[in-house]
Amino acid sequence: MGKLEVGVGIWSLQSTKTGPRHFSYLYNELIEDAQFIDQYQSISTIWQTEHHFWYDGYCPSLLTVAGGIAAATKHVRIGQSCLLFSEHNALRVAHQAAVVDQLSGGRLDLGLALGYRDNEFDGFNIDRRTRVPRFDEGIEVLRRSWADGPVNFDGDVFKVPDVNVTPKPIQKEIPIWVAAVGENPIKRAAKLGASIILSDALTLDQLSSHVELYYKTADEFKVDVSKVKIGVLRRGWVAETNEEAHSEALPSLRFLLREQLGGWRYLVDEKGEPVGFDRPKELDAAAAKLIRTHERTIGKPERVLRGLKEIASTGVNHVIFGTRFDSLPRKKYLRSLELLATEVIPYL
Amino acid sequence: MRFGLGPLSIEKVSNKTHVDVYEDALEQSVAAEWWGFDSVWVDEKNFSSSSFNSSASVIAAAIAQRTEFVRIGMMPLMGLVNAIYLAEEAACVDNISNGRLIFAGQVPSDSIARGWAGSNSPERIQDDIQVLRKAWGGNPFSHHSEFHNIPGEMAVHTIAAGLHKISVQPKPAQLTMPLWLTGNATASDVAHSEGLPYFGPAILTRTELKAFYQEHTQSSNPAKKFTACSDCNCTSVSSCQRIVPLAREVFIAPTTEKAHELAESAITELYKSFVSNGDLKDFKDFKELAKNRFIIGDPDTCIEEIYKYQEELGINYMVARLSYHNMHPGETIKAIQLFGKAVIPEFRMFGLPDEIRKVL
Repeated sequence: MGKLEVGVGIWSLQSTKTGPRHFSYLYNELIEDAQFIDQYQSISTIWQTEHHFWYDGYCPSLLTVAGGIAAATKHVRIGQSCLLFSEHNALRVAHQAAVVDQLSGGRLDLGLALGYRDNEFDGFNIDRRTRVPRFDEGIEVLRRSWADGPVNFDGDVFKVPDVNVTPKPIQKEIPIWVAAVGENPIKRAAKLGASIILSDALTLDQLSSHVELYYKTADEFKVDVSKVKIGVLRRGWVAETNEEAHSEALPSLRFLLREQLGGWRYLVDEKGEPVGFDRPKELDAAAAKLIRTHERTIGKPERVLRGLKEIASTGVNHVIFGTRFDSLPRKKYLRSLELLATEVIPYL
Repeated sequence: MRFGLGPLSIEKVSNKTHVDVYEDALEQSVAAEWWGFDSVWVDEKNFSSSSFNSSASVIAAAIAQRTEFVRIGMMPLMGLVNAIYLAEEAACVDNISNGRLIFAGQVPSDSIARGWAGSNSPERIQDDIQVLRKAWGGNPFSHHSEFHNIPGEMAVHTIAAGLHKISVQPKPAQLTMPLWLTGNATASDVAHSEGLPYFGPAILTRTELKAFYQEHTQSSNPAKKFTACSDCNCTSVSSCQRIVPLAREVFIAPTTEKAHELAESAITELYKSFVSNGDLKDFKDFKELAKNRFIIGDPDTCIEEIYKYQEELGINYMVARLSYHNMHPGETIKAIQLFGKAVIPEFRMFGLPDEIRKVL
């Protein structure tokens, strides 16, 4: 299982209602952050996140932006949590990922998810119901594109003739991470032998059972998963004291979680109906519950270290430390990253 | 006259790691910015055994990160995928670069279009242009055509029901994204009908290019009767705002002999690959190939040649490659420097005294 790796994220490049910024400021800030992080080789990965057609400009083109990150850095890996793969043309993703991998000297961790928002599938004129076959066929297109020789793939969704995608990636196999929210996606990822990124909503007990399910499924299908990473997104913040960390991070985190839960509609009730802003009490309760989970990685270095070790004890071996909250003073944000890199990660 | 460097050569080189090939291209971009070029250009090649660059937007973002002021000309292939992807990627690069992007869409060859199950028909390229313009515009939009159905308004997407439009985000930093075209005769026709700046094929000779630049030669030559161009309310040569770009193989050195010595094998190898792709007829020798096609020489020779293109084709934006993959990168940087010091001022500094012109 190995030592726990810590990456940071997740850069969405949103110009939000509460923290409106010029987009050029946000994109340039990402590049500055990347350079800042690159000097601390203890932070393994920078994680980006994607959506389309969202009112606040949520970043839609992760691999393009990854080109900028690659040029700005020398050590840190570049990951996506996640690129909404079923909303893309897999052959285009194959080309762009290979170029990012080459440009960065083999530092790409390609994180893929199905996507779920109706508005995005509708904007691209893709039937949301096809997202699973698009994903599965897309993975095959990626693998054939990066292997020697022509692609030659004739699927139900993607048909690629005997063209040879160039350049090939620099890594023998670009690590593919799959967002696994729920049992079926975990099983699917295990069958693929892909690394996984688990939901930020899971308690420690749930994490343990999900990790167990992943390895059990891999074992059942005789898939070699000895090199895979089991990742999870956990919101986090480090300051000199617990009180400072809480007062700096919690109000922003509460707002962010509430907006995500209500706006993205991935919170569903017992009938499977999405819970939107029209049900504020349920949203508040869900956000409060999530905060209790994330609080364990918000505090002074010792507390965050303990919180990360708890996560490592579940079998998770990569934490995406989610430090990107809205409207926080930049100086405090950079201090949080510095403490994470120098006072927390080296002691894991 | 304005000047760009490129399209950068990002090709396979023996005894060199891939990372170094990209690093050379980024260093050349920085050098071009330093020595006064207006822009740096990056194209993309698909299914090419020698190319290390199948994504113009990824490399454009890298150039944006390394440079501060120079514009970035990005030449992505069009007609292959939903144009929303291109609009989104361009907007991201425009924001990383603080509004320095020029989007020069490349019309693909038949074989590349087939590989993607895309199209290089004029109708498809025009449709992509419409989607790009709407996507970069300030208002939410819909677009229903033979090639795009935006949004799909599928009954199954219940949460999106009733919206009828989408808004591509983020918007570019620039109010209006410069949109140019490059490629074959289809690109020329579409550029003409849409009023877009157009690069004639770099592999053609000056004589062959005349057909593509006919409209501009009339308006740029003061000796001829002035004809206003179709997309600019100009009344004279000096009031014409139209950009007339040209991409050429260029190489410069302190002497013409040295320039030929350095450039011949590099450009020959490149053009042999065009021959093997079927883009060019086989050639006997370099002399025959270079005649009226390449600009190679000392500063005076290069200046004289560029004046010919200016006079005969009406160009006002020269994109000079100067960068060849099998040439030592140090020679490329020296050529960029010499071009910036000796050639660009000739066309930029009106009234430059001869005494100053001679100083390098």
